[in-house]
Amino acid sequence: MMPGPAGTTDAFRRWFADRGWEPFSFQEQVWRAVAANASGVLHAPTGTGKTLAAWLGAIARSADLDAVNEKPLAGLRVVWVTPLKALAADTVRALEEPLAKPNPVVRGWSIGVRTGDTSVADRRRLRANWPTALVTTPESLSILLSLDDSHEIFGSLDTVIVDEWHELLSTKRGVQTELALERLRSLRPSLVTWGLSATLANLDDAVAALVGPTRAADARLVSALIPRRLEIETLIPEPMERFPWAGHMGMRLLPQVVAAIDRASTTLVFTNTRSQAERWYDAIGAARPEWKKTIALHHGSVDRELRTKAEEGLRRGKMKCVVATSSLDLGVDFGPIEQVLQIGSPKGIARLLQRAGRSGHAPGAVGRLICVPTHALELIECAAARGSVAAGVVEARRPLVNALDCLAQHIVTVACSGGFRADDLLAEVRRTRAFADLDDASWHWALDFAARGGPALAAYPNYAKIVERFGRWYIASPAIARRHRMGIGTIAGDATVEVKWLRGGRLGTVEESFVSRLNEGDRFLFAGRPLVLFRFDGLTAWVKRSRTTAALQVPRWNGGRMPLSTLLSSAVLDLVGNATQPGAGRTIPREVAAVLPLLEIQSRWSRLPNRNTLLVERWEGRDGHHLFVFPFEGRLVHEGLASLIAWRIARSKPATLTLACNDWGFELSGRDAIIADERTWRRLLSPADLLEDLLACLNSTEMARRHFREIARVAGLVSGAQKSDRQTQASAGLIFDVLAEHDAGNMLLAQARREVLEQQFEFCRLRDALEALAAKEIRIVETPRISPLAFPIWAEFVQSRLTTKDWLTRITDMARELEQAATVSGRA
Amino acid sequence: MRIRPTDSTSQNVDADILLLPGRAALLPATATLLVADLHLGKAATFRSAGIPVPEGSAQSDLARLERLVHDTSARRLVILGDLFHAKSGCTETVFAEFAATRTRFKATEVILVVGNHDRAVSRIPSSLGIESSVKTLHEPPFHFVHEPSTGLSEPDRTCFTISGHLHPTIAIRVPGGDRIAERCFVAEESLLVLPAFGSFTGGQRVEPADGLRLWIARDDGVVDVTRLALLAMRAT
Repeated sequence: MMPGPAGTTDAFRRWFADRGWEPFSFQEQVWRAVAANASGVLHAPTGTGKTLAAWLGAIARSADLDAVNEKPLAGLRVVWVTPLKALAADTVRALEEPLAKPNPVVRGWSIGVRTGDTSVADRRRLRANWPTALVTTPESLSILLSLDDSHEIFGSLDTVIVDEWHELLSTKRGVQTELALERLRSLRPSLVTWGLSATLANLDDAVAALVGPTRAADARLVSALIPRRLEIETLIPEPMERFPWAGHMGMRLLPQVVAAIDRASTTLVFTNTRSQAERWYDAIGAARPEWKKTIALHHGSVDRELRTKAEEGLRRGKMKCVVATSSLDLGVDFGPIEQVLQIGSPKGIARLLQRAGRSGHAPGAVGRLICVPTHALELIECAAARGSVAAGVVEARRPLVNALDCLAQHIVTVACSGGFRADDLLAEVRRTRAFADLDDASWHWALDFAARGGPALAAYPNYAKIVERFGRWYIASPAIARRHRMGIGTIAGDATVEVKWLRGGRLGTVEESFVSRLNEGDRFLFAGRPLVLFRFDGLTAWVKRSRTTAALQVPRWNGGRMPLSTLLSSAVLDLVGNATQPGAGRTIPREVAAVLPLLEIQSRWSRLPNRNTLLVERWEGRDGHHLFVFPFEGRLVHEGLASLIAWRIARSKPATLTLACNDWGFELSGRDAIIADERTWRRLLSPADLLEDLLACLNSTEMARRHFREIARVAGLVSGAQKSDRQTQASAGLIFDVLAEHDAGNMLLAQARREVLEQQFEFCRLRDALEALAAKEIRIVETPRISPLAFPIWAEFVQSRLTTKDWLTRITDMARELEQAATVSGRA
Repeated sequence: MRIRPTDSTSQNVDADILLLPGRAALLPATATLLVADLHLGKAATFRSAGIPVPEGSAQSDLARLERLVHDTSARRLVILGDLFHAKSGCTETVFAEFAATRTRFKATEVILVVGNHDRAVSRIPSSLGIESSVKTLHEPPFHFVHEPSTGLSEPDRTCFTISGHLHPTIAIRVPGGDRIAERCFVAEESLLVLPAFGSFTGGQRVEPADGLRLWIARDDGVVDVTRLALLAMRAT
């Protein structure tokens, strides 16, 4: 191993010494590894100096290479990939800091930004004169790789650094990043790659995905063993009797929350959904009008300018409190935050750690987090999370494999940048972890998909995105290249509408489905302001300030609801199961002690589930028959289980069942009694024929069709929301139907089904769950009333329906039900 | 105006307008078959823009059209606009497929009430066998147009208007129960809007309201859901 010239590292030691700091040993480890041309992953808690470790290492490497070459290379030397474009500006600030002071090593370094927000003029300026370091996103990096001079742009690159790698890891954007990194390494074989990650249970996967499985053995895994002191506690409602059994807002604890904010200098209040953030921001502001100027709201739909103001306020220490969603989970130091409040269950241990790490963000300081449950049973989730953090366990994030939509997109990207030979690109793609096991058939299909739309036999006349000339594949036309680049940048999402003041100024975006339900004059809460809808013209919701704050609606944004992780689910089940008999030597956490009266009602009306028994409750209400099942496997697995069991019930006798679930269990309900004894339940829960049954029920629940949306976008089947392109606007659902009918072998349909199975239902977890359930005793209990554990599921919105009736019967039955309901309410 | 759904193509039902399975309507008095919004060549338009949508939907739509003409023994076929989707999708093949279908019902007169999409297709070849292309067709008591001029609200006092353009769909939901969403026929006092005939076409939700009549329009049947849709709306 050849360490770099002593001068470089010494220069950085001096840089640290100037600030009265001492480099951490992990920082020196990274510097030494980078100097030795090694790639790797650095994992450390937030706020410990990961950025400096990677950045100074990269600068030193370039300086060393220049010293060897005896003249500095022109052009891009370092690419810094950040998962969110919103973080780019902060990242630039952090990277510029070591460049500020005169230092011979950093002379000549400049930093540029290229994200989806970069203006056309700035892009042109960049292309004319590349900086030495470029901060960018996975999407923008792919766009740069699609340019026909990409081999020149990246020809002088020494180091690429992927920030917050754990965030990208288990997503399609992670696959896109893997492909882009491999492409960069083909253009520049000497490239060194580093990933910065929070702690994960599967760091090996994180390394393999970053550098490719064949190079993983030579890659370094550097851990920052800095004990981050965290204090986590839970607000316990008093008196407990009046605390609700279900709900998502948890406003009952407002006085305690306000008191906690009052005590600290600066508080970050994290919520799990944007609606929650709106409500809490509004409630805190109403409780303490004098904080008006020093509290702010921050979530993904609030206009960028308003968010930046909130971030600036935090940085300058001017804020008393900022209410935020995951929009503030990531990012560089926000400065002095004394404590973090988590409204609602944190749902995962890694997430809790990430959010707690937002406070006390200076080396050596203590992070403080207070969990605020929104309903009684969430107290148990808080206890489970607290216990797991103390035990030092954390979840894994599994990288995706064989995402053919990403591959199809990448093939066209590479074709745009001067073409490729099929064998070369296949070899390159197979060097990534995501496509290491890609079979020949899938590769040929993806190539055909780009070249002909589908396999040669299917009918896609007059179509070509890429064409073959003399053994190389090229993009078919500049127009197709242009459209492809636009497609790379678009982010999947529901149709959104801009919210603007009538007198000018933007407030942000809301889902179109919310605005279209409103009438002119309706009042709603958005971006922390009470608003009246003045006019909605299809593109913009024009609003005025509402003078009253009564009866405001709150938009419900889709998505953003995290399932409880497997680790936490199992910890929760243990706490519930042992609540009344903790066993020798075990103490009950305070949170659980507080909900004991509720758990006692549960065991009186029904029973408490535990590790060895599966609880099934049957309850007959006015609206029909309900079954509640409590496997404690997290929301996603419950969705899969509920669909599977509903389908198995409805297979033998035509029926329509509605499904609802939460992280603890699921509910099936229908008009007719669902009679099932233990033997029937064994059959319903059998792991046999699981895949066949799940595929069959996918079709009857339309889940694959709904899931197709994202795949269709990545693969270029639906264009982004470009209003000018009206003639090629079609919903992903419609395309799904056309493909299913006229090209049933299309592998993107198969991918949609596979993704629902693997991601939506977490197929492996589902199969494991069924196998575990097979070993459990099944206890079926008729409950006189809806039990405390069942109540939160019952209060959930109906999530899906499954029907095996034909459409005419459904219409007849719907009519009968509605007529009956109308007669009843008419009499009342 | 007596509008009746029928589950077969028999014309014995006593009505002025018959709503047929397969998203078409028939005027028994004049043996006129009505369809709207075929959007032929839409898949080709997508492909020419680099979006791989397979062939097949236009061919199956044309086959369905041919069956309807034969089953109803229609003397006339009136297409209420948007026969073609866009200029870039009007390939020789698309025209040829229509022309070939057309030759299989030579005895039937074909009239195109030109729609906004058709207007963008600058030249519709005479070889297609479309006898006349008109902006509107006025045949009291009926008035045929592509776009119902001002949505569904303004009644034409003298005539009953039949149109396309809107691609109406209806969603019906029983609170806590079943939910169904389908293409539909929608009518008010003096207007009937046909569902889109083409299978590769999107839809526009119609909100139930007093005075609005609704029929679910499927390939295998037509069902009146006027009362059901109103009840469902009031129940939510």
